[in-house]
Amino acid sequence: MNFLLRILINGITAYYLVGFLTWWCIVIMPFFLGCFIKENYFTHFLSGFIGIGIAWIFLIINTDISNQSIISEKIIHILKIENVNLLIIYTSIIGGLIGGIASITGYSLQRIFIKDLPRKTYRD
Amino acid sequence: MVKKIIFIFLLLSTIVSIYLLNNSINNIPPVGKFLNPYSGFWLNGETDQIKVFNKIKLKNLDDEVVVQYDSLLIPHIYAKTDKDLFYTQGYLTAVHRLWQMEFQIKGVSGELSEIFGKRTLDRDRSQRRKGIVYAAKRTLKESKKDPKTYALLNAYVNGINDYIESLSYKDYPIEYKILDYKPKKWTLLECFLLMEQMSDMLSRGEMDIEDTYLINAIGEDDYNLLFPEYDDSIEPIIPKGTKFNFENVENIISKNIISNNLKVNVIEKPNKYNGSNNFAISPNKTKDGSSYLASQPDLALNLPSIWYLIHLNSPNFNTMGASLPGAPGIIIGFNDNIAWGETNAKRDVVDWYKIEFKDSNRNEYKYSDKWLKTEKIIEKILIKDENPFYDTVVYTHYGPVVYDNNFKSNEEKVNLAMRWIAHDESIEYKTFLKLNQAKNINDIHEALKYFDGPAQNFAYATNQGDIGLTIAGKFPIKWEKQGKFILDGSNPDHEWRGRIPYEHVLNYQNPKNGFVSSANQHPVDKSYPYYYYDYSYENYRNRRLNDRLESIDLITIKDVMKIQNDNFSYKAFEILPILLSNIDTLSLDSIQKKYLIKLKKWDYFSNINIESPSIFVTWWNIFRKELWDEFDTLKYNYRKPSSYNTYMLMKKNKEFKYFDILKTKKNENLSDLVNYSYKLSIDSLENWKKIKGNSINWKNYKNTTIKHLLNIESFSKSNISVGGYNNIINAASESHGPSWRMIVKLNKTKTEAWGIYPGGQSGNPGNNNYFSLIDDWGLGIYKKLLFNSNHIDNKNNIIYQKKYKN
Repeated sequence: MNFLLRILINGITAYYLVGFLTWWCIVIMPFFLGCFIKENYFTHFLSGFIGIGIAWIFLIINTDISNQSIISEKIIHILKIENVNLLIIYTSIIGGLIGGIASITGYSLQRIFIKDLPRKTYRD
Repeated sequence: MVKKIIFIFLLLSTIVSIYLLNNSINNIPPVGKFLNPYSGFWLNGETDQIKVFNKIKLKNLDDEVVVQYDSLLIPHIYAKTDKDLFYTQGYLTAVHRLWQMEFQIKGVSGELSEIFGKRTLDRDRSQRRKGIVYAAKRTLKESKKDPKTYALLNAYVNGINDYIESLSYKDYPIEYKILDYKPKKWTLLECFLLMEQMSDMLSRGEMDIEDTYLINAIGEDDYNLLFPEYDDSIEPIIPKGTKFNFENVENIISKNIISNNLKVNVIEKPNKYNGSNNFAISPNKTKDGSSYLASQPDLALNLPSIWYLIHLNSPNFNTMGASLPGAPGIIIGFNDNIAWGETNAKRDVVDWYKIEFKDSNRNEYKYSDKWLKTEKIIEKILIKDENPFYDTVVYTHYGPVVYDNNFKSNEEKVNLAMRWIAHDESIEYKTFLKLNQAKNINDIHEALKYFDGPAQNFAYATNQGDIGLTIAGKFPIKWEKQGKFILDGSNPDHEWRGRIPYEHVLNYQNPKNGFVSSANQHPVDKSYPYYYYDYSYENYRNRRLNDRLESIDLITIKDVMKIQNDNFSYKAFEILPILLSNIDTLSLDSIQKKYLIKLKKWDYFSNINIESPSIFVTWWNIFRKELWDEFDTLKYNYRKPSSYNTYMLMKKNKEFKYFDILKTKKNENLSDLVNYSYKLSIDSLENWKKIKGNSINWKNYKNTTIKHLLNIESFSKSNISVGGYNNIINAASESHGPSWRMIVKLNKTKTEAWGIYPGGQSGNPGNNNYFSLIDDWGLGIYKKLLFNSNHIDNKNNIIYQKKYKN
């Protein structure tokens, strides 16, 4: 399936649906896609990473702009991070990594059940 | 096979990383849980108050309730029943202050290790050993005997719990997320623990153990000279010369034991600057003919603030003012007819009894010629990530044995039981609920009957024109000097003998000079038939306050505001001339001279933009340090003579053995000490300037800071523009000061009030209201409080209104 489409699906679920569940349910969609889409580890990891990462960036920016960074400005002092933008990036990388790992976990499960494509057969 | 291994490996890494991100490790907040955009800290930002209010769901009401918020975010509750009123108070207080409410209780009941781990274990142990939970439980039992108060307290608790139940992780106050724990359900016990916390802060100050050690170390003559109980120059709360037409009902006389082997490291004491001032002015002394009441409690300055402003209205109540988050009703405030405010009435209500156990089982202890049975309570202290700690506390009929071979007295293995008035069951809430409804001075007196402690000087004014002051509280009757030092637990003569009856409690009304006031000074002169004692009566703020009140003929609200923000240092006014007269100008270099000129020109007002207060404070501290250097050789806890008594001794003596500086060979006199300490202080100030790269104007040098309860810097505010200091009416010191400034004007037509406190109604560091009142507080700018008995009259001054009904 199209790489961009997978990113979009991961992103949209993370943006709109995970909010109703616990935060770590971000793994569900990448894992699911990993299970059923035939691709390779690399693109699976990337689609999970980018999909979740981008969704998180948008989600956080939304919240943070609407409250004028009033709390994030204070939290970066505790975490000793230079500015809010960095914190947003770090946070999204964490989300992305979890998404990426979930996606390749799904894919590795898929690989157990699917036989390797037969190499060239020389029968007749 | 390889594929399976890869899958299992990846699956495990997913699970492990989620686990790690969802749990707190080494006191670092759980990263994923804390940072994620769905429920993490980002959601704790609140810039739209209406959104916050829209989440309020009052579920368990009997009737209709109208809630309004004004622009300061003060809730105005208009209920049809008292039960609904207090239910709503509990709920709305929790909306703004939930974390603080619970954290204070955890602190006082010794449960902090649950959150912080082992590093707070010692603190938790001393809280438990003081018998605080034991006392709150006794009060809880007693409270059931008064069903009316009990029902209202329960309604308040239900309100808090309904709010807690409405929360999920994403709504938790930020501190829960940082420390990774959850709010627990409230019970009535928590409300009583809060009152114990007030006692812990206000009525536990004493120096019995320290002084027992001191009097042995320096001898009785020196002790009496350096730590006098009373001085003829003091100005007590009850005017001197007041006649008492009753006698002490007890007449047992005995003596303290002054044994010299009581070496213990004492537990942490309340800050001795917990003070305050209050005053009431009668209509014939005010310009507009109204009665005035002013109240200004000086406490540790923290965020979220200790006070929460609220207006409570029902058919039985219409009262407003400062409440304590976690306690129903108003603590310092007013209603249509009266206004009241408290200052701490210092009195030694903690005594220590030396206990002699029969054997190491500690099942029996000696009392007269008998052996009495002890009771043992095992305190289970939960510790984060570790096994619980069990501490056995032995109780005698006096109270808990705080210091024993398990705690803080390892050297001499001495056992000291604590007798503290706060151990007794009491019903303070009844006092406040009655005060909240009081209509006249008789109602006030009726309400104060039920007030046991922490003892307070209640000043009050009514719209009928009466003013008065009552020193309310439960005071044990003591023989002369009883409990000033450690007492003998086996001697029945050392027992407290009942309380001073309420009719004999100190109080006075409508004096000729037109005002009553208090500022933690001595309560009364020696003509009072009962012995009283405290180690740290104030002797500066009270005199300045009375001087000001006497000097103005017809007082206005503006004058009262000025008095509350008065920065005059009585201490400097008395001490500095003596210091300056002993300075040898010829021996000074140019920098030292420059500072001296500033001091000489100073008018003794500790304002923010001048350097003289910084110079004086530094000089006086170093002077005292060098003067009392003899004390530094002592090994156990002790105290040094007060500033006031140091001044008295300097005034009377030029030569005095303590003037000697131990580390020099010479035998110094007063003048040597003055010059020596002056040069040291200038060095210290110059050094400060160099390190901080800042001028030593009073604002910078004092650096008044309001710390968040967790001491998180970005949740705290430092370098606040506020003048004053310890022993000044505007008592704002480094971290302590006027926690609420209230002024009320009462007359037949209406009640008007002004107030300000250093904080904001919202206790959420992510709410833009959090710091909102601090700057105005520092500058002495007041807010007029919105107070109408009908909610319709508020309509132009509110930002939110909603009607709730089941």
